[in-house]
Amino acid sequence: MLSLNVAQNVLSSALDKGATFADIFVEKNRSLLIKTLNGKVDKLETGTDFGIGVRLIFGTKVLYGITNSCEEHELLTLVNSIALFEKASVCNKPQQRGIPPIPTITRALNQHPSSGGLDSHKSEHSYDYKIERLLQMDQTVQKAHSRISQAQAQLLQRLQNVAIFNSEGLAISDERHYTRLTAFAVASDGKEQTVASKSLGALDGFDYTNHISLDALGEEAARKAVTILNAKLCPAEKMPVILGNGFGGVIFHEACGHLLESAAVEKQASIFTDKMDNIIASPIINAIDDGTIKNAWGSINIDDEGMASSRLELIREGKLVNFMMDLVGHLKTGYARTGSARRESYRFPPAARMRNTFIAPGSHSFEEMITSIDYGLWAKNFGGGSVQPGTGDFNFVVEEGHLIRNGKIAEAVKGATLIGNGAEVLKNISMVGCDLDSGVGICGSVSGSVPVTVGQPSLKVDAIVVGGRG
Amino acid sequence: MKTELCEHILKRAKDKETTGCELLWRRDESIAMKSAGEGKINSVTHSNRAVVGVRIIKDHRVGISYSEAMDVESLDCMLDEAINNSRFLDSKEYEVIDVGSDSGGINSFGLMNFSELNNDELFAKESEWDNQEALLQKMQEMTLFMESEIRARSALVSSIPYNSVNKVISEFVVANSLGIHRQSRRKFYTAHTGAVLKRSNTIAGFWENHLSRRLRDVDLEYCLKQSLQRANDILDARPIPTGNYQVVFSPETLGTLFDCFSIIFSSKASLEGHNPFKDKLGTSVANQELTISDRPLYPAGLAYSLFDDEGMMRKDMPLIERGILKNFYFNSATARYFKSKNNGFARRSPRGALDVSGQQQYISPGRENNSNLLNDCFYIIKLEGIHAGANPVSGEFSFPAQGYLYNSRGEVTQSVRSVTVAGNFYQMLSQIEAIGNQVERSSTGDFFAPKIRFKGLKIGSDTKN
Repeated sequence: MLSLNVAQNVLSSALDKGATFADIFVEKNRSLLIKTLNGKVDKLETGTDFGIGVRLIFGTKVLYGITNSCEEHELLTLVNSIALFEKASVCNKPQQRGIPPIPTITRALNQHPSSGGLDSHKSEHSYDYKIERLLQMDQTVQKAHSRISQAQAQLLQRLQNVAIFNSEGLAISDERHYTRLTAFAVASDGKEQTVASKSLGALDGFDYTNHISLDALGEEAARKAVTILNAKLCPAEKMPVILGNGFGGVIFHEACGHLLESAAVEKQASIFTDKMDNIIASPIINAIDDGTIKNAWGSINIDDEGMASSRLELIREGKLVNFMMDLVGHLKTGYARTGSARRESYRFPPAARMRNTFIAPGSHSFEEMITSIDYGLWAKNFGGGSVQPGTGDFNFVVEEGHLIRNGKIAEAVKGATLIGNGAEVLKNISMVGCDLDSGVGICGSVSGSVPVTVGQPSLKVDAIVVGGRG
Repeated sequence: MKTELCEHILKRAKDKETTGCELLWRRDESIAMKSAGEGKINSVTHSNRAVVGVRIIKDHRVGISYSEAMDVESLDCMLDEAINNSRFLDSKEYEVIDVGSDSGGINSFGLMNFSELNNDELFAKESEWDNQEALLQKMQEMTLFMESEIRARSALVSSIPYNSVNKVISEFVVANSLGIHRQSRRKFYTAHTGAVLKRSNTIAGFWENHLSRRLRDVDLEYCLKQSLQRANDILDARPIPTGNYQVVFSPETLGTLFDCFSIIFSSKASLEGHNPFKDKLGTSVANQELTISDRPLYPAGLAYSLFDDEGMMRKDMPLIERGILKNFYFNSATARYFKSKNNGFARRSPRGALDVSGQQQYISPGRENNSNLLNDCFYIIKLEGIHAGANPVSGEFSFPAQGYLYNSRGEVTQSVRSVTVAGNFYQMLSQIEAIGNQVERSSTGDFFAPKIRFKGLKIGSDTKN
């Protein structure tokens, strides 16, 4: 995608401008979207993204520029133009050291073998076959319940080729295949409509779908839509809440995980900035961010600064033991890099981001947790949410919830939102289930939208404010 | 995009026996300068990128593809992919390339006589910033000014993590096989700042931004005052008891609510069957005081636009008049499907399929004096989790909210946090109690509305009366 010679010339030029470090991120991204609607193919779209991001670091100041061109003169012009932003560069002495000799571009060690990527020409990876599989899932949704009024099935595939070069002699490439399947269901009783979806994904090619049940995916989307349709409005009050396993991990991800990323830590924008080695959570909490889980949706061979991915403990028995760090975070805080630097595409400079983040399982059964509550909420499935930087205040939508009455699961409720503060909730977790599960999503933050897995066992929080209009 | 490349793709599409072809080209250039509380600029990003997308019609089927590579080989490949993609889709006889004849184009596969149109009159020029170095110096000064002022104006500041000044230029071209070739340019500047304050163990933050076409009009003082005042108020804020309250949304929050539930005006959503208002044209859907229009040609709006993404000329359009639903947004395809008139609200990015959307919504002023409007209500200035907390199909929503509680004399009695506001948007439209007589602009510059008081929305918190 970019010759070694051109890369070296561009990096040399960056050092000549006074940069203390420079890197180049080259990306070619092919994408495929197929969507069915009520048994017909509604969309089939393809495209190719190509671009290069050049980063110059002066001390801890980051200058970043992007272009769609891989011509050497264009890249040198880009370096010149972004170096203008470093006013001090006119008096900076060029770096005396040059670029270490780079014999060749190394291919990253592939820890996640994949099959059926967008570069495959086999018949079982043809559009015809993919459409056939999607229509099967579409039909499952339609037939799941008489109240289903609309069914959709969607396939997203992506092949991302990247090459990373830096002024310390790194030249490495990687190939990332992504596949994501989603079933959507709309349920209607003639007066009201509700929508629900269920999604699975992997760092893998289309053959990944051979290992999952498309019927189960479609049925779950339909079941959720019908359950929500029949649900009552959720009451508004503070109550004990069981955060459902699997995608419930999105709360930890948003309310705590982002505050452990270098962008928040280095700017003192995290309530955990000065809490390393302190107890920040209930002692029954262990939290991990693991970029090495085989073929998991959030896994990577190397991060977008070219460092090998890793498994990182974040919280051990309630104590904060690690932050997620990229290069600039490391330079500013002194904490070691963690192979977590990620970006949506060449359009963004890299930043430490979560990969596959989960709370480790505990010892309680789900039944024990339910029976421990007289009146509360089981937040079985979650929609989205957000967290306010600086304060850790969060909000999450409960897609599917059930009230708990006298230690038993009672009626389904809809329209609930959980609000609270991440630091407080972490300390108020009183039971951790043994039913660890995970879900996939796309996380948006400073370096764009990246694939992530969230996970947790069922968790009991003694009190959360539940918003609703029942 | 070079005219020769447009012509090359359109000619190739014709040679490949497509019955219509549309090209969209978009270039975005931006400079983003940021500081993070250290008294210096810590990051600058210069972005310059372009993408071209093609939509072809062949055998009544639609094919879509895009590319960021602009060499002829890549563009040919993009077109071939679009043609191939179309083979797998069911025919949509109502989707054709037909914008052109109304706009002076030619009714054949014409490759010449492009009708050019641009909006340069709004591409505000500021000669003092023609020089790139002077511009960068000014943007740096502005960024660091905001940071230093935040610190100087409050002893409670614990961090100032995000200050930025950005320049954004977008260029857009739409060309099609009927001879349409329109281009537009847009430029704006944004300033963004926020204060995180701490008193004892309480932390509060508020972020504000302002957009303008000219750098000199970017209102830093507004950003500073809002972020400091609001953050300070949140420090003292507490929940109000759970219950039903009269609620007024700020223009900002009202705009995001309307955006959330924008499918009520979408003919595409009607076509797909999930627009809850699809059968309500000409009927009452809101309080009779409510009048909403879309004014793409309103020059005060930052989303001012002469033509839509198919090249159709824009004009202002009523959406709801005195509570009656008057129009949906149409593009050429939905208009043909519903045998209606294309009203120029096509939306399409070079990467995606044809859709519809609003441009600059404007809610007409009512009769209520602003000084009375806030009496005895909860005034909401911030909503969180907007898209996650709303179900556009059912109208149900539940969002965390911040704001102020007003007494019956129109005085603020407390600032409010840690509550949720819940309701049904479609029912809410009929539960309007009063509409203010002054129209305000949202900070994003594309939504204009007076204050509106709604009755009986549910506020949830951890306290009870």
